Amino acid sequence: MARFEGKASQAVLAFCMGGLIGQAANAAEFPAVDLELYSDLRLTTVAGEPTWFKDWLGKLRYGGDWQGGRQTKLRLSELSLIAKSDITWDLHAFVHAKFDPEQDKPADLVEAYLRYRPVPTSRWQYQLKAGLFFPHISREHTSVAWTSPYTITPSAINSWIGEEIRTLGLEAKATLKLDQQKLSFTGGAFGFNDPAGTLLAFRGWALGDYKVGAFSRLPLPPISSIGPDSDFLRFQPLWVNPVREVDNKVGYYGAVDWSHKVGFKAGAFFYDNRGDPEVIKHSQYGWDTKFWNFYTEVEAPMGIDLMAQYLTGNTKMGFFKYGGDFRAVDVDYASGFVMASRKFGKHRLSVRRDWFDTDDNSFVVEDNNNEVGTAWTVAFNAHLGNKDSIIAEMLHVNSTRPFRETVWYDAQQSQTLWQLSYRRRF
Amino acid sequence: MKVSVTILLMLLGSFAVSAADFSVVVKDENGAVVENAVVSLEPKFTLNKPMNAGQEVLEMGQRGAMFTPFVLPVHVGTKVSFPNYDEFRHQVYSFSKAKRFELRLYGQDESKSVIFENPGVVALGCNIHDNMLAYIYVSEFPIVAKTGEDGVAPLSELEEGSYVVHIWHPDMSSGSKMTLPAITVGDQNDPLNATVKLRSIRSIQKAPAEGGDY
Ligand SMILES: [Cu+2]
Repeated sequence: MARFEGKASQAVLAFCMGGLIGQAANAAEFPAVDLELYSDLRLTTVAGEPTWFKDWLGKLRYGGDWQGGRQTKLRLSELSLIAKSDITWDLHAFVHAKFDPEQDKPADLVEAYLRYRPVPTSRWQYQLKAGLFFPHISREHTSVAWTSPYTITPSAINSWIGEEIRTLGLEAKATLKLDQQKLSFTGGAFGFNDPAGTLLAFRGWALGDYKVGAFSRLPLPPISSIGPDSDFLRFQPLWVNPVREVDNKVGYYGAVDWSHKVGFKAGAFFYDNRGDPEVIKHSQYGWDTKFWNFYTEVEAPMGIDLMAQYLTGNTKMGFFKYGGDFRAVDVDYASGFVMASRKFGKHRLSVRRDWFDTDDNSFVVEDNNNEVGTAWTVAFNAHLGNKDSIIAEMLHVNSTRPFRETVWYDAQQSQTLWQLSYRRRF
Repeated sequence: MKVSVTILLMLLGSFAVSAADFSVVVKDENGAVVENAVVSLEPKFTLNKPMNAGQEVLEMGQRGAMFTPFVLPVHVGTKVSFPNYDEFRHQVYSFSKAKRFELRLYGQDESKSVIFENPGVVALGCNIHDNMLAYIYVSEFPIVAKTGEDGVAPLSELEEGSYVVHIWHPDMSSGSKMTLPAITVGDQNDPLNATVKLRSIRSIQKAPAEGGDY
């Protein structure tokens, strides 16, 4: 960890924060910037359908070659830079920038926010957050650089959160801390997430640990219903830029989280980007995307941690077509997972079962976005030291998506990805 | 023990104090020994050797994003130091009635201290590390001890006489403590057995999140 206490950074942050800087009890020590690097060296082997990153319909971050042949590769799959600064004792700045081979920019911003959390003076604790960040949907991503200590590949739900959900906005949170339990209420208002839902509709669910940067585009498969040659949705290009403001309408989310000392946690989260499905800007539609996310975590006997999440929602885009009651795209989606995990000393073994499903409500003949699938994930996280670990993972996914037939593949595909990830923090 | 008693007697010189050893064994309703119970003794007579509260400095450290110890018993007026053994910052606070304060500990080996003037339970938290939790029990009575893993609170070198025994534990229902009938400490004493009623879910200080960043 490198520590810079340069005058320049101090001046910039002081300028940003204006009068708040006066709160620092010992201003000479603030603000310091802590920099940390996170790297992920990855060995993968997989056969079958090519990955969706190759503009295809594969479900995983890595896939087989165009004939479905096995591909075995060693690569740097992520390099993240995390900068943290304590501007005052109560005000913190966080920035996460990332390189990875799939990203269409050499470096991009994952999160950048300010967090204000004064010391509690009662059983209620308050927090404000402003900037670009992940709303707290994923239960898996508790490690540095939005990674999971359980598996390399997150669940289908949280893979999608990484791909398309990012809010630029303001969040307020109040937590009541009692002797035995904790209850939190969170509310947020945001913009710049209007294209969210595009991937779920045209590509479907996927499992991968890629997280989109604020300025990056993600590819869509060349299905017949979209792209300039299509006579169904020709203004929808073969890519999506999920972090974009399209309709200038403010979205919102709200959450309730409860935890009890007996070893039980549960919560509900609701998201609505309030997208206007008829607006096109920067070649992107506003998608009207809403969903609920529910979770529970239980500390079961024998040191087993159980975790489950269920996400269900709907997304709509485009005009009401052919004088009907349905928009060009109107897709219900749902996914759930159950994970059991156990620590063995400082190591951890995790097993997860995923289910996912999309249900197309409109124009199935022209644009079939139906899908069902399941996955098994087994991973072992070997703790090597405080700064490095190796995760070995087996991921098997099986899915049926009829629109694969329009790109000359069978509707039903399954594949198994084996991965070894060496992660290190500097 | 005999040696130390002898030394003490020699040091005390003119004081005609006879010192006795005593202990309290704390168990829960299922008969299991209870760790981290605070035993305080209220003498029903005037002590020959008054306790000099405030003379000794006790310690509540922060190590590996955890407080250590989990429970610290002190007398009213005791100064407690809060050394930070971690390379990162802690923002220690309490909003308990007995003592409200906030300490900002920048980094390794920085220490600040607080004097606890009022009796009561002080629950400690850290505004940076949500998992951090500890208790300082400030007793109005001059003699305090804490049970170890074996459930035994050792009370050595007591003056002979009558004492009321008070017991507190973080898992007793909020704000309550248990008072036992007065006992007499003599030359030779059997351990006193006390049974406390605790909540079935014990409060613990959790370790920081895995792979989490401090
Ligand atoms: Cu702390």
